Amino acid sequence: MIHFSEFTLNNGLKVIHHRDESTPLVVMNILYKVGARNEAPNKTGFAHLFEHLMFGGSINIPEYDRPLQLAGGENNAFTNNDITNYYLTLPAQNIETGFWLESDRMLSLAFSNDSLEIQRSVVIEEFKQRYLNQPYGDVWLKLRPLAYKVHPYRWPTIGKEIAHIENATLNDVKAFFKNHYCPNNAIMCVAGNITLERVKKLSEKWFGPIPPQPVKLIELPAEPAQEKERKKTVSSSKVPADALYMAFHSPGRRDSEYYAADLLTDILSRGRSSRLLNSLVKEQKLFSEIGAYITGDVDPGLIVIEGKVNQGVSSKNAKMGIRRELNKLMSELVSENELNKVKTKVESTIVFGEMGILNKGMALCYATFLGNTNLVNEELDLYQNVSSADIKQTAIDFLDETNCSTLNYLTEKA
Amino acid sequence: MTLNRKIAPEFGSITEFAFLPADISTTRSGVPCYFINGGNEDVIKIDFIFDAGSKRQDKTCLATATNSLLMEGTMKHSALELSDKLDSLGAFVQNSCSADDAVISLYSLNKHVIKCLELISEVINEASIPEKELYTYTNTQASRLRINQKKTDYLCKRAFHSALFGANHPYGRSANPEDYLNLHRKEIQTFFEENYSAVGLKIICSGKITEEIRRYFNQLYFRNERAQKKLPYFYLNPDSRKKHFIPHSESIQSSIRIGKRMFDRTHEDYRPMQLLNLILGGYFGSRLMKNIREEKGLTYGIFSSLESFRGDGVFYVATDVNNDSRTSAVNEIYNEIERLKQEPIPKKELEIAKNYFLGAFLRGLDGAFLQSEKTKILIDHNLKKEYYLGLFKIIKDVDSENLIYLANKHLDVENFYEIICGLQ
Repeated sequence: MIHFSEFTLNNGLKVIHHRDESTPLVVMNILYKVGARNEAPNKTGFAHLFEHLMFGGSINIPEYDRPLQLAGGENNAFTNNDITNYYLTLPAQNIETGFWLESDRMLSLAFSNDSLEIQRSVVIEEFKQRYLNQPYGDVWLKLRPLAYKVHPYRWPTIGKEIAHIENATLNDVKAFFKNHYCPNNAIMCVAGNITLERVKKLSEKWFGPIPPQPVKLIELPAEPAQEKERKKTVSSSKVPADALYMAFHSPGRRDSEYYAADLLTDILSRGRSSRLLNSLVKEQKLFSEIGAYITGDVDPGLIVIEGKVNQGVSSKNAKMGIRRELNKLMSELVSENELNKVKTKVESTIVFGEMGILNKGMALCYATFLGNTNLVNEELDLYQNVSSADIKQTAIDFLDETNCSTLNYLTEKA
Repeated sequence: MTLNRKIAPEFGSITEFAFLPADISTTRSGVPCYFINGGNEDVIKIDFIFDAGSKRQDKTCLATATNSLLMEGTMKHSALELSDKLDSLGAFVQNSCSADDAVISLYSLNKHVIKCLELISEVINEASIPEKELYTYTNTQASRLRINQKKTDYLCKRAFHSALFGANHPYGRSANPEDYLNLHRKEIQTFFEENYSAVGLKIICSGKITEEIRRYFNQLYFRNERAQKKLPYFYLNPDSRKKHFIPHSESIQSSIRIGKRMFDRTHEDYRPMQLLNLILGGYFGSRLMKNIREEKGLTYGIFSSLESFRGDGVFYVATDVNNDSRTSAVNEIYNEIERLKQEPIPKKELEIAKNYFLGAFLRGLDGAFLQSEKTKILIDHNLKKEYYLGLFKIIKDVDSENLIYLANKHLDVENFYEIICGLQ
């Protein structure tokens, strides 16, 4: 159970407070409702590039990191399809430094050309290091455009191609800031050893004067239902084993079927007793390893099953093995025991997730973003309410062959 | 009054920290248990630390294979039965094995911890190492290793350790896929029987610890019939060649690792060297990050690290850069080290580094689980709990003269190894 209070400033900034007196620290988490989904198809990778620029100095403060480190703090950020999330931790007595730094960069960035040039090269190196210089590192560059045809989820957060990052201009940066970075498009959580009164006072003082901005929300095209299986094969000498990635359109994070879909992937691959490991790795020896998960995006996401195919096994046979397991879920009810097992696992994950104030701060902001801050406390029940029949129905609704995009890596001699 | 955003709010320096000393008791099998009680959530973490690291193996991969295969069945339960029970209790079990030790970590909800402990002690007392599970394990590990062997950073790292210590030294050794495939059940069974018992075992329990749980620990039984073999003596066999290039025909970037053999954390210079390392490459505001990432944009990341093993250690700088920038990156790394040896660290920079260090130290103690990691460090190196108070004081007191002295004493680049893996 996470106790919290919420209030909204006049400029629209939503603030959540959670008190934990067992820690000497305070966390500040700020979620901006902007992600790769808000990018134009010819300017992808921009939300993430922009996240880097948020550390290049703001209107009144030339450097972000130094004053934070001087006060004993640490920070980082991440961007995904739906949001950009910034977080910092400070010793409780120094938390005002966080309010000062975060409010100034919400007010305005410095927009320096040098910063853009440097972060452009850093992000290009990141693109190479994480997506191109690793075996299977390019999987999302290939799988997304196969699974999505119209929705912006068809490109990964890093961007479709390096050229988009190379072509970003300072005007693009300014326009992006203006459209998305303002108090009425953000959610802040302050968690740790701090009173509600102090959070209110400091929020008013530092964030209160920031004017709201009109946020242009462009209606995103819904991805049309997929009608037949899509396949792509990549032959490469960079990969040492054949691999299969099967992606099925799934419920979005706010859909009621999401919880059944999440449990369904747990049944397939969570823990050493899960189905895919025991059936396809241990018994049938089709894969050397295999996993299943749901992406949890706000708009309909993907259920992904990915495995490394054993040497001497054809990808066709390996895929048939997966298909048999999926068909079982579509035709047979999961036993109460098995269902309870994955539910207990969810329960421990939630409880363990409440261990640190940073986790709690992030979870609270994300729940607010989803529309209900108290989801952090209600979700366990939503999982508990899923029945075996729900799991079967979800499998029928989403795991059909026609809903699948299959990416197959084949090794090639160099 | 209008807000002046150009002026930073006042802040205070960190003056205290809370390290909870562990409460120690002994099980009826003579195993020491360290209890760290704390936290609001009804969860518990238990580390079973065995003197069963790869130092004790006489065949590559034997120690790590044993550590993993323990969980794959006992005399009473098959692998599936065992994992099904643990999963049904919502438990997470992590196995890890280094050169120095082998650990089984159990994460459990309080309400199920006794049942989980029954299963884990069954594993420790009577793991059965089934042949068919051995096949799955070795096949998976060999496949993972083949993937890693395509990665420049992995190849660079293993070549670095091998060059520093020699390919047969526990800190220099690395596995090949065949090593896994050559393992036999019998050897693993023997390694298990010799090294997983009450002898050398230590337990750290952290989280919300009730009286019931404490009492349960006191009566835990662990097999104690066999004495462990004496640890063999390991000869260092460092490579006489300091510079190594590993060609990688498909790489887009090159991985670089530069450094040397250092000492473990009981050395008197270890703690102040942690600060020097931080300044060079230990945090986002470090000189290497500033120079090579934030000024030159050559990399996504560069860092330096001071790693302590038991009785040994390493210091290194590591990064990934474009194939054609590797010479300039290497030169800049040496330039930054040279600056540490020549120029005093400016007052402000030193203050930032110290405050950041102490802030990170506070974060590293936030909660019983993190405190248990700090306790393990003390146990591993036979250190007293005052070690951290000493660390706190050393960081506060060290000055730029001390740091120049340390840089000259320990960052002797003429003895550094330099490994690069990338396009020829």
